[in-house]
Amino acid sequence: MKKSGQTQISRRDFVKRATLACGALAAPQIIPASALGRDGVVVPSERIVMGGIGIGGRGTHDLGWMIGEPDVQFVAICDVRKSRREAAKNIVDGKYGNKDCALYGDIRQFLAERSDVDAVIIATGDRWHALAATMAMRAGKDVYCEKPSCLTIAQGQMVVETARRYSRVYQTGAQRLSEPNHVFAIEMARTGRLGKIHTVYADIRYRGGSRHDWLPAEPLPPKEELDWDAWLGPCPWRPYNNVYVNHGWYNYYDFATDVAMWGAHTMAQALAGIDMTNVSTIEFEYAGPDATMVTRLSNGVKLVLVRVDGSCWEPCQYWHGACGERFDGPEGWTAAADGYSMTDVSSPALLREYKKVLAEYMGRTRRPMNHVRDFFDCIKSRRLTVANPEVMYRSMSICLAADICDVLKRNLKFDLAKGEFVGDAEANQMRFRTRRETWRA
Amino acid sequence: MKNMKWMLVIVAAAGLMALPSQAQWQIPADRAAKKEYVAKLLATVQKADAPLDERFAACRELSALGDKSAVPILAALLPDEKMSHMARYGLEPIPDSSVDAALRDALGKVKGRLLAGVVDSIGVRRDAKAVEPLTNLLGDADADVVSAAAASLGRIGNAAAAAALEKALAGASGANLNVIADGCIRAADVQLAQRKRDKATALYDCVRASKAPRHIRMAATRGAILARGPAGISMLMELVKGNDNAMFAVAMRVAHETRGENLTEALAAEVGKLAPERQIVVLQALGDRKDTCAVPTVLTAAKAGPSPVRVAAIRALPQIGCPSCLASLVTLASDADADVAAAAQASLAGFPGKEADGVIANLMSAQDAKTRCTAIDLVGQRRVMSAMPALMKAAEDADKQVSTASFKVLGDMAGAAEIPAMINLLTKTQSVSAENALSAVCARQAEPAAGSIVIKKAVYGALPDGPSADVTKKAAELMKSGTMTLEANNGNFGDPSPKKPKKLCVDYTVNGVAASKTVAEGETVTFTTMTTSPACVGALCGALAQAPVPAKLSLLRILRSAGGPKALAAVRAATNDANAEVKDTATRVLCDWTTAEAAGDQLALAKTSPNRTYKVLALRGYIRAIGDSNLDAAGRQAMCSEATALIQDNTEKRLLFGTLGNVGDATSLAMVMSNIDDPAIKEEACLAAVSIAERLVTSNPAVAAAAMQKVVKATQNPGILKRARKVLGQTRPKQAAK
Repeated sequence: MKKSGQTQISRRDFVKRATLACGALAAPQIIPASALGRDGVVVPSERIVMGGIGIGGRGTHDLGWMIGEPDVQFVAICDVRKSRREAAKNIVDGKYGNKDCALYGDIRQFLAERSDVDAVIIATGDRWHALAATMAMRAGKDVYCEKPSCLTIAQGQMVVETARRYSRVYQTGAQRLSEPNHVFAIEMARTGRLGKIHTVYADIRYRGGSRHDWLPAEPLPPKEELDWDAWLGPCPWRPYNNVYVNHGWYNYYDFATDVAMWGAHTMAQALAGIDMTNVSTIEFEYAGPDATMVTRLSNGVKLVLVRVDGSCWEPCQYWHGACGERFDGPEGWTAAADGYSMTDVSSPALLREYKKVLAEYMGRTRRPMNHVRDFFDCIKSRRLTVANPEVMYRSMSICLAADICDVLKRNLKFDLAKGEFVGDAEANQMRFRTRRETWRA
Repeated sequence: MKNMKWMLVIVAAAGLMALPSQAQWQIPADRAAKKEYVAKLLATVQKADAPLDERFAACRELSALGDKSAVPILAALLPDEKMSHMARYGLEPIPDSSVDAALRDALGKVKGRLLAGVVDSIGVRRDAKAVEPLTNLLGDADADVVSAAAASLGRIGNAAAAAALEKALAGASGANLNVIADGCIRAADVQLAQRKRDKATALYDCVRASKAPRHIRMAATRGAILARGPAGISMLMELVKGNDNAMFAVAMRVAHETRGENLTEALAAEVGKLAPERQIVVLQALGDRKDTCAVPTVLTAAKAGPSPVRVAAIRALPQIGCPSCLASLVTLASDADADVAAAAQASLAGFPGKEADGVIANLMSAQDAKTRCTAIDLVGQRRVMSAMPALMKAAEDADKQVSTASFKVLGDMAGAAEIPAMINLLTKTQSVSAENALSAVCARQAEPAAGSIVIKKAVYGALPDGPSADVTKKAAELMKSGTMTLEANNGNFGDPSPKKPKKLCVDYTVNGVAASKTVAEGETVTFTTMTTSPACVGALCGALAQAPVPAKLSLLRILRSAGGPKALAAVRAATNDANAEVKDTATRVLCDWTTAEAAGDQLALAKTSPNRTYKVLALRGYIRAIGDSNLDAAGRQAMCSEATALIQDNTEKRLLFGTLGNVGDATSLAMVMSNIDDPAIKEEACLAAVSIAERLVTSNPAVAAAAMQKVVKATQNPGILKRARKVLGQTRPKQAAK
């Protein structure tokens, strides 16, 4: 959307400024992190001792991001797959120039034995996110958990309750909440610069499907190579097939979600731009399979879950990148998605406030424009993260309610505070997925 | 997948519903069909010789549809090793008390792992009638069962459950101690939620006094503070003052999750007495709590002490947002400690409210030049429009850095009203900064905005003579939604002339200036017409005559940014100026004119100028002008032919490819493709061809496909290859969905 003659607002300048400001925050805050939750020796340094749980593709990305922070030290990796835990160990050991990173195949053993670990990054498959986070927080760890951070509304509530009960710092991996272009789009809406927001769009174009069938059984690998029972975790048992463990799980209801799969990438941003304090209920309008779904918040805002043709990486009428959100008000609109060099706006004039809006945001929130840094800062200050459990629950419960609306093929009304549907017993029955016996929290 | 779902809907409607072994949710919408479906599901569940996946799938469907009728059938499977979990999966969500009875009944029928599962389900359902049997299980030999029982009792959390857990805690040890202590905290949470503060407090205190691991005692401590209400503040403050860092962390967490000035005042009173590392955390909490009663304390911390503590205090001030601290922040913005100064400046930039604007604007008259520079930067960041006169004054500051900083901010903030004053500044200072600033302001006057575009008439169809439809209303609606582009397609405008090539013709105004564009089906109208501000161009042209030569050169360059016929005429006239410098600059500006308005001048220069440099510059400008979105296809093609005839160098050829890649059509594609065998420019030609084909693929797939087949063979660039293959894929007929 950049127009000829448009004033060059330097995003690089802003990020540099923000980094400098955060450098001040990153100055010593000498609460030894290892003393924030567990027994154990208080180390003289201020490093945050980390462990990784389920380090595959996304986890490797997160690990690389986190391990670069100067006050972070990884000491252990836990994964049910030998190849993955060893690959992660190589990254950690390579960073520190030693062979010290410990490996675990069983999360229970890892949490029980490593009282020295302050915080964990959880990047397992989606089926494990909420349970692993809950187990870790009950073991006194702070948690950074990848998205979607729960498969059911009940799981989301469990995470919120546990974080609160155990005074744990929790961040869901909605990293776009910490990226300048998204923050600008959000703040323009939140501060009323676009007028009273009437419509919000969130990209949910991923179509993973939601199969219930089983793939043919294949010989089970040795437990040391892959602990299949642990891989399944709280989900219903089924015979092993290597497709599941190599990304195929995305397509199966037992292990994943549908709307919530991609909604987890966008809903938190969409909600951040509107005042949710006065939203009591949300009405979902069923529009057909894989169709864009209109939802109406009780404060009058229309929240549109966009599912137009084409993959999420292709441009659509609202975005020219994946994972977008857009806010429409009477004074204009803002939109952001992946790959943007600058927030999309209805008029270039709106961009003139770019630096001002972000400076105000920084002043108001003291947040860095770096999602994992916010997590680490909050471990030290014990404040809520930008993507705290309530943010996770609110965004996920709306996505999961939309999933249920799709399954039942009828309009639904969801009470956000109570976490239940109004007058629909079947919809309410779908808020749960019963855990397997061994894998509880 | 989409088709598969539809197929299922159709099958269900026809009453031919299969059991859900192979696909997705199959919940029928019709009530009668639903009853029948549930009966089928239950029959499958009961069928011991049915494949396990079918029985599992039936349980999964029952989790959404199951009712009282499903309870005895599913309950009977609770002792079944293979089916127990899925039986609970179906049972657990059913909102009927018979489920509770069935689960309680199963407690005596299952053991070990299955028992733990049943106990877990009882907890999820919070069955108060199960307290007694669950209490008995707290003494079970199986640790897993004890764990489940403790958690479930905690979830139930009534007085009886709480009492059972409290009693069990006294004698617990090892792993059981952890889970029972956790159960106690859960039960205390329930009690607290029911406002039974005394009971909750007693339970929390019980865990605090136990030998449970510290992180569990920390959780109990949090609860104990909250349960005590206002009296919990003194308990929290003891933790703030104490030596235990873990408990200090709990106190800080609670400080973030509760509100009230009493706690803020208590924290503020203590902060100065704490070790620096704790001061930082408490100051951060004071910022987050936003109570103005903390301001004096935070200001004191900001002014003196260890640098990190001061920084934390300074960063807390804009969060609290009390204007009384602005004066102190201003002082701190020039502190000798660089970290402190940077934090203060950042805080001033983000400080909420208009009062901060005034304070910062006043800073611009500070004695010290560094402070003035800082103030100007802050004015720019905060966009303090009321500071415009002060910025104008600062632009003439004797200090070069101050002047430069001021021009930078003026370029960003000034509008049409400031143009005359900025021309004066340019004439006076004759500086590059002044020229850049004025150029930016003038360029901005030409920006079209969604709000300033008005669709007068839009017609879509087999233009000019075939069937067409007036789509003015639809086009106006799309523009109102904020888009700056309109794609000519049936999706947007319907199909008034099936199977015929169509065009979209739009008449519109931008800032009151009329314009018209016509594009073929599949192409896009982009509303980027550069409109000119008469006041802006008039001021520039008016100043041109009287300005000294250096300023005149600047004004000529700025006229290019302003654009429009009047600006072009002034530049054209200056190419005949008596002054050689003016003449040279005007000629170069003409060569570099960004729209096709100057194409005739550029072509003439490229063809006939005796100056070799002008010839090259003019040709390059002419090629760039081919990209002007106001040109129609014929005009663009004519310019393309002229340019091709004049091009003697691959540099210009590459430039042409780049332009055509952005705007080219099928004819341009043919021209680009004719260069695909030249090794020196092959890749640039391929890139342009792919870019054109991506736009053509919908409206002219055959042409796009033919070109891309050649590109795939010619290119060695993986990115281009990928794009070309994608276009080819789009030209193939779609396979029928499975």
